[in-house]
Amino acid sequence: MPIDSRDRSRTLPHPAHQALIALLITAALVAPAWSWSVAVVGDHDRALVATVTGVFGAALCVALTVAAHRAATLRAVRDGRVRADEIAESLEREAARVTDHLLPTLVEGVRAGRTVQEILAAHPPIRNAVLDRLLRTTGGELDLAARRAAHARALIARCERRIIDLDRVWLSLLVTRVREDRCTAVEHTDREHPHVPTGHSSLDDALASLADHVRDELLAAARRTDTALAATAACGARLRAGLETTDARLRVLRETHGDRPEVREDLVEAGRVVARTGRIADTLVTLAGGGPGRRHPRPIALADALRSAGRRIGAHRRVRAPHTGGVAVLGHAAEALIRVLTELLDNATVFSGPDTDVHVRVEEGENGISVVVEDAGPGMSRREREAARDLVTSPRGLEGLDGDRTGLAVVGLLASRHRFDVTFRTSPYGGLGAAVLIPHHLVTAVRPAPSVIVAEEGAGRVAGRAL
Amino acid sequence: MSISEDDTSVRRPPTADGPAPDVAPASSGPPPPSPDHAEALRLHGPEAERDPVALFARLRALGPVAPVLLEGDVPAWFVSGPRELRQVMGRPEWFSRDCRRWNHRDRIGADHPLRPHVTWTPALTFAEGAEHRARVDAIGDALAAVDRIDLRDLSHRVAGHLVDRFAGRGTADLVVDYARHVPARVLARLYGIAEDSAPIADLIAAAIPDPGAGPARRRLHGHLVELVRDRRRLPRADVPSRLASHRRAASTEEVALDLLLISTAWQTSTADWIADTLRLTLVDAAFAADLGAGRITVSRALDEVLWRDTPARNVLGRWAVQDCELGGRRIRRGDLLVVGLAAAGMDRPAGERPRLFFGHGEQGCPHPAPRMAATIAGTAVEVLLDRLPDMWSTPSPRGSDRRPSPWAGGPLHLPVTFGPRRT
Repeated sequence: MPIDSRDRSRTLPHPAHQALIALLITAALVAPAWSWSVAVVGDHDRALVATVTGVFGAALCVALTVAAHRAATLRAVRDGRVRADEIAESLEREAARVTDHLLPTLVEGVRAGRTVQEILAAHPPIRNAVLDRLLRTTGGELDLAARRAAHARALIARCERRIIDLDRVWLSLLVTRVREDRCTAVEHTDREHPHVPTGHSSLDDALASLADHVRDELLAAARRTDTALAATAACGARLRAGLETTDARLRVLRETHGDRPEVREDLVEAGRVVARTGRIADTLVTLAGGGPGRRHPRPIALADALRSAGRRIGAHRRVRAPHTGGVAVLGHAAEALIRVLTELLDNATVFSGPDTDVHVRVEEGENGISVVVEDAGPGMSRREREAARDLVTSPRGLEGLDGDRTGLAVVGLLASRHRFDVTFRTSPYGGLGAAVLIPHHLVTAVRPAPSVIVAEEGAGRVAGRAL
Repeated sequence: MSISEDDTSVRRPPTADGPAPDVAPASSGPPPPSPDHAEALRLHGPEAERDPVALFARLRALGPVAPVLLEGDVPAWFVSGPRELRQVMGRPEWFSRDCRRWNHRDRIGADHPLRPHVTWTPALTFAEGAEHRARVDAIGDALAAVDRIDLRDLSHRVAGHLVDRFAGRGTADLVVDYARHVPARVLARLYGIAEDSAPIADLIAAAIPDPGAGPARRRLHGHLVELVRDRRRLPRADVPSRLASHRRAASTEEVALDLLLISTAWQTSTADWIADTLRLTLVDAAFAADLGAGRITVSRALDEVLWRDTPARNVLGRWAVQDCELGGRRIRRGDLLVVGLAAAGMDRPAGERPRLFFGHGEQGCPHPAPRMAATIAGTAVEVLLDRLPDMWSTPSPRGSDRRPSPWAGGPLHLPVTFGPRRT
């Protein structure tokens, strides 16, 4: 664009100057002519001629000066108009460049992450200072807006990540840890999974408060469950103790009055009812997380364990148990084994015909001793077997029970606590075969002690006391 | 009860002697011994230490309140009738805890064995009235904030870890390796300090009756003052912080003293309770048979131990505020009364819960401390019996391991053997 820098150097003289020059030139020409005319005329006319030519000359001077001034003024006005037209044109061109080209480039460039300086440096500069300022201010604002938008996008992304993290990682970790150990759950979760702040303080506060709230509610719910379970276990234990006491009293009664036919049957039946009810109380305590009712200070011969389990079910006469040689189970695992066998024998007798036998086999394998309970009932379908296996392999207490299948839940809980391996298969008698594998470290040889007495017979740890 | 009232009462100058109670009975010298004490039995000496239970039976035969002589033949009254015990423990306006009321205080020399128990300090043991109530409330509230089920789980975990430590060995001393550690370690968690830290070692040492107990108690006191100061600066969700915030007006020293009292009472009573219960399961055939066959629950077993062999046998003391008659005896103002808890348990009413052994009424062990002790002791006993049901007591090389004292009866050692476990 031809900017008027050269025109400006060719600046026209001011009209007053032009007029002054015209005046001086005219005066320089007129003054000698007047002097000459005054000199050549006679003295008589001199005054007149001097006056007339003087006036004439002065008038000429004035006329020429005015003419020169007007001419100069006219030229200046014409030149100014031309220049103004040129400026307006160039301004329009620059404004068009700014609007149609530079601003869109700027918007695009800023959006692409480049700086305003960088973008403008790649283009010829804007000559008009105001337009230039406008462009740079707009660019600055665009830049700021773009940076704000990027920041907001990053924040949203961080928030999204944080919320997804809270939901999928933190919450499931917390739930797992609470299930494992409620008291240390928070400590462990905080250590294993520290929160990454988003950097937005009020948002962080809100998310932290949400997380705290969820955590507290989770812990409170877990605490309520545990309290209910503990109360159940305590009540069940008292119930169980009362039934055990009744059972012991009934045994004494059977011993003293067992030979009287009029009470004998009733005493035996009462004993059965108490034993069955005691087993239910024990189921309640076990599923509520309580300890065993009976504790055996000595190893229990497998045969005694089987006998003890048989006595705790209704149809114990149908159980055919082998002679199990000299194998015994260590005292601390014995009661659990008896309970597992009780439930399996009960299942076998309940789900098979009343005129069929339930067979027990004992096999010694590489990993331990296996006790297999086999019945001649209809057995289990594949899906039923899978459900039973699931109950046994992922043990759950009263709080996680699905339906009322408490027997297998007890088997699962006790088996996992003492590392027995329980499996289900089809029995050679057509029904179900349930196998309990007792690991070697829980098995010992029966000591040739004269009287190995199961705790329920009332001996406790008194026999053979070292004191 | 208003806060301001407590404030004025707890802001006592921490002088060695404090303000004297309204009556000063010791000023006129000890009164002549009452004729009842001429042939009184001695609650000290070799005979009492050899068989305290027989002594309690003889004292019991003398009536609900019997004259008795303490170390140095200082006269006192032995209260063992249940009704009289309730009166003595439940009527602080008649029977005060402030030892400065004692009319025989002059006879306790610097080396008298009972001196630490009858030397007045700003400790809660000697506090009375509104101040006592405020301090007991603070302790009760600080302890009540501990959820019972959390306490049970915590005890379960602590007990399990302790059993893990000796399960592989096949032998253990249930007092030294187990009973003393369970309450101390649970308390460590409630105080927000490490289980293996110095204060906990000192707490255990302070509760063992040997010459090391005194220095350990003083070190523990120092630790607790530090702890209270720290929690005042930066409160946390633990018992010391709650106690400190509850008693904002009290000095750090006074809060630490209360904390010391909680700690030692907690440690001795719970550890002895656990040890006594375990001892009974090991030496009493009928008890072991009932427990082993599941005819009694562990919590019943704990109750049974309190009746048969309560850990805190006698408590010193209460002082008569005025002349009165109790159980047919003339008690004079300033007379010392010994609370005979073990003797009182000798004839138990059928079916009664053994509540008496934690003290009675407002002056007793503040709620919920007895329940907390029962939770910890029950869990500790249950975990041990479940994990090691094949324990057998082995004879101790030191002969009798009962504490030779008519005051506290917890066993000092309880060696056992069992089949070693893979853990």
